[in-house]
Amino acid sequence: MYRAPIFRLCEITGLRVDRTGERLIRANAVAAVVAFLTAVVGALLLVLTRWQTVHLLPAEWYYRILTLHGVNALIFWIVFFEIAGLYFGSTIVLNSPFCAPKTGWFAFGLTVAGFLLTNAMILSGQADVLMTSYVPLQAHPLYYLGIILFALGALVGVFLFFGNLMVARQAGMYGATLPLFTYGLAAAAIIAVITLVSGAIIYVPTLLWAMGVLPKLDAALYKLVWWGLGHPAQQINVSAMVAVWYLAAYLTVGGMSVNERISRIAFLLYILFICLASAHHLLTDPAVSSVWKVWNTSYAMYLAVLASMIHAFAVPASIEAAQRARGYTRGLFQWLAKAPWGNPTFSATVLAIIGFGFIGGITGVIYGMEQTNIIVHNTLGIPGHFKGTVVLGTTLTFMGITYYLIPLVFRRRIVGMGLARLQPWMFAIGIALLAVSMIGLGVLGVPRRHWDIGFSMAPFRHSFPAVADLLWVLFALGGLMAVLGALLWIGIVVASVFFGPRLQGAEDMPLPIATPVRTQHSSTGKFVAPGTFVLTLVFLATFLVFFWLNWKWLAAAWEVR
Amino acid sequence: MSLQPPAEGWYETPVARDERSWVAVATVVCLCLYVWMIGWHIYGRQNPSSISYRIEPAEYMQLHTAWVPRYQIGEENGVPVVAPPPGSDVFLLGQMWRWAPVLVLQKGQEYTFHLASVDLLHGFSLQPVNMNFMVYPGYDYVLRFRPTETGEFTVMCNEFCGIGHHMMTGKIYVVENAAELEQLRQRFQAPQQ
Amino acid sequence: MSATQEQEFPKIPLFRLLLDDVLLLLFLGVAIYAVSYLLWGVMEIASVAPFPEELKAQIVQQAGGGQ
Repeated sequence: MYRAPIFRLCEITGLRVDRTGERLIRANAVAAVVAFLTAVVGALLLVLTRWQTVHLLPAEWYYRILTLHGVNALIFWIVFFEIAGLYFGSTIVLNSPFCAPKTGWFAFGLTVAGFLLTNAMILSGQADVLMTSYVPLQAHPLYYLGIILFALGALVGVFLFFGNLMVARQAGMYGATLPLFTYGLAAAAIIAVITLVSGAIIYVPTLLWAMGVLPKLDAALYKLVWWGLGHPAQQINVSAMVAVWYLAAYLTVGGMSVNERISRIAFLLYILFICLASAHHLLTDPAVSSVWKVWNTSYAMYLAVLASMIHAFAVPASIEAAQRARGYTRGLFQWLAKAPWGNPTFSATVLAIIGFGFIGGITGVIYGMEQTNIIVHNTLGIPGHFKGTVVLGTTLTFMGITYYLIPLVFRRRIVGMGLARLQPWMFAIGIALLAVSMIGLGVLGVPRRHWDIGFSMAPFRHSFPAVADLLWVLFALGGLMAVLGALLWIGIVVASVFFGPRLQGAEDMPLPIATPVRTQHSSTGKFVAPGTFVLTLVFLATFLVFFWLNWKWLAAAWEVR
Repeated sequence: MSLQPPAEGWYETPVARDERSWVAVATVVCLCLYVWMIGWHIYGRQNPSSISYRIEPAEYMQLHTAWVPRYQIGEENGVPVVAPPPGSDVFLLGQMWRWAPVLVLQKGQEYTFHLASVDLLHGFSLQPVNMNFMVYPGYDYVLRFRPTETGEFTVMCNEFCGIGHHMMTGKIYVVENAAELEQLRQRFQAPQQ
Repeated sequence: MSATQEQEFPKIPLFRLLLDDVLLLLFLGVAIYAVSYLLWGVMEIASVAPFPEELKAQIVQQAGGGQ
């Protein structure tokens, strides 16, 4: 079934672009934006409901929209975008054709069908089970079918990525070693296989159970396997996000990993160990022992955390080294002060790195420890944590890179560049405020997924400390600001992709592609990125403070064994 | 160079001093975190237990209903109030949408909680202590609690369990001594207004 | 003879081969997760003991005696 690919030569990057592959990238990216819009509308309604001064939605609709928001934000938006990214990294970046376009469209059809079916079932009120749909909570069979169709389509997409790699390899497009960006995507793709196969293992029996074919499903078994889908799905994000960070560092300042081997080893650690962290969700559960919990929750002795800490140095260091090579060598931070802050991809990336590390990463590690999980499990601190990782980290990163992808892949200029420069800041500050206030509310014990913490209809009432009221106001402020930032991004993307002026040539490129700078650091005795080194030490200090606080709070709790 | 294959010799490039130091520090931190969790099992006083039993919801319900009247001292808001003796087994039931019974415990004494649900998953969330555990149908989660402070505590549900989830609350009283327990006994025996 | 062969085909470190072999990594990633998280977890869940009959009898009897 050989098909002669139709290439166009990109005059900006000099890359050969397979047009069929490009159309698939566009289709998946558009679907991603639709899913994201759905999630954002949901987010707005949820913020206005949980902030009980407004308490917008009735209980039934709150749980319904919460299901909608979770599934669209954490699964559909992210996976559609990642499929687009995988296709981009395995065809355009490698100068190589798409291996099986028809299968690609088939996969796209499956994912779109799954997306539509799932959302239809949620909105028609037949799947008020939240994203996790913990058995024996039961939804309509078509809801599970929708998820299965989506997962199947995504799995086919992931295998097409591997297929593309093989085609490129055989054509000698990359010798033995993949470019680092594609390598990070390969790590994401491997994690995606784990995720989607776990999804199939659990959703197929659940579908049969919902249809009445299977009489019973064990609640513990369901939760164990479901999180083999739910958590690694977010680890795909981590890996893809870090890959995009390296790409963004390259595009915006010409930064290159200061040591390719170390960066690759970090991705290797992700591949091998990051999925064990599904155990984060079972730390306060019966049926699994502490030995299992401690080993798995720590990603086998924190090897995946080590990987993230390596990237936390390597990505900023790549920016710093490039800037220093350009002559910004004064002091520790001139490289940062003189960075291209007017480039929204750059600001989005830096804000994402800071947010992911300081908010998502620190809480993630500490909340994921077996014992400290007792004082945060299912509190609002948990969504606070993953607002830091998935939203401030992954989503903002993906938003940032679109400012390059729109001209490069959609061949359009950015409409509203001034607003685009503002957008990452608005979104980042909003989400950071939202996440931090949620983490604070979590410390006070406020539950997640809860319609009424005034307990107006409950037999026993509980009132949270007065500071909670202030935190709720910050929550609402941050939430609304983030929603505005997200809508602004969607507006810019839609306006640019559908109505933006067509790109005529390299001179139309709205954002420059930086010339790579060769950095020299052959001597091991030297510091390549002293500023970054200081920043990582600041990060470590912050981590230790939050670590100490949480264990202190835990030690003040009742004794339990 | 993230868009092109790395230059020849990438594998052999020596690691710069700052990156090397950072990786070393990070490795030590990671190992410490791991050892810390194990250490807390030995020296710490808050650890999730590894004890759970398989039990059918109907069977658990039977135990719960047999156990409640044994130590019942009265009723609050229509929920039985139970004061189990220190060291005894406690069958706290999670059910759509209630926690039962209300418990009266003594400070500094250990109680063996058997947490289970008879329908969906629930989240046992003790406030304002802020301790949270999952409650399953089909499993008895055995947790030995020792209250370290006196007062009134709320048990919320923090795992979604259907449309009445937010109404699912319960209560635990922790008293200092037998005299305070007696006061509570009189309060809950008296007809409620 | 072996010396010339080594010159023609410089020895690539095994670890580098591992880093470059995406399909091998796919296998390893799936295998470690499947064994450490999934299989071990399923085994633990499957081996949860039934509620002790002794304790059950004690609870139910106590209640009977109390009536």
